Amino acid sequence: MSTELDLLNEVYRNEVGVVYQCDETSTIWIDFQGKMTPLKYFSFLALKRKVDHIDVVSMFNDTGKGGDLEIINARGCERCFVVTLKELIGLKDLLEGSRVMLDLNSIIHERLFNVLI
Amino acid sequence: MKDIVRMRTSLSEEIEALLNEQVKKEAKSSFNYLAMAAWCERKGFANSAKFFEIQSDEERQHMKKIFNYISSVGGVAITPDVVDIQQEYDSFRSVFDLALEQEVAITHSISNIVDKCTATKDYTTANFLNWFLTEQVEEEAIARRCLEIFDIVDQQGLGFLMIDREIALVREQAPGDEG
Repeated sequence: MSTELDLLNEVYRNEVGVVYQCDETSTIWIDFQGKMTPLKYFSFLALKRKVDHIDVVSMFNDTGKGGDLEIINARGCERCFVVTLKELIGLKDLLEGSRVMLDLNSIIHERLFNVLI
Repeated sequence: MKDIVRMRTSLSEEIEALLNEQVKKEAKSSFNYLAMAAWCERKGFANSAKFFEIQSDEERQHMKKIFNYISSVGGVAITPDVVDIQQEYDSFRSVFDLALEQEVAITHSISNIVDKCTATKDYTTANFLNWFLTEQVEEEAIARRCLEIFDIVDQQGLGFLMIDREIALVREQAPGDEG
């Protein structure tokens, strides 16, 4: 019997994780830090916005205990991410790359739709 | 692979953010008018207080209209935080000066969103916002008429009473309320 995880299409991957899309449930799955996290698209965007707003430079310059750690919790996301500076940079790229690929897929669909109709 | 970006909403992320920002501006505008109403009430300008109270209700309706639109097209409508509302004003006239400034700022803000909608071919949202642009013509006309009354009437003694009486009639005489 197939599960939702068997129906995933890879959207983007880098050295810290992989982002998938499930066509059946219109859900984004993030494989990060060894855990799979499901997100609706708006939660994916909320998570991306949260990550984009983190000041990486001040994290880098913070020499205090735990200064290079960040806790990320986004609307509609059941998981709380605790990331190091290195992981954060990777997560930023992972979400940005995924967003670009999702938009590209949308553009392709739009062009195909224009041809078909 | 299914296109879940467009399935979620026909709004782009940029337009959704701008609309949510506009929701916040309309909410702040509504609360500003409410503060103006309270100030007028304190100073004994009962008609002006009522005038601003109605203005406040209208701005809230505008806010809800945009808020509901975002939801209806599949976007995420965000309930705004409204802070830093001015509670005191220099003079009776300065309240109306601020009211006009606020309306002009709202018109510019909506125009900018329409401009962005056109650039990104979001004609649905541009069409939705056209109603607001028409509404702003009336709102600005009302605010300007109020200031005209201050220009015409002597601003001392009984003059203030006369201004307050005339303010009560401004909405009835507004261009959009004809017929």
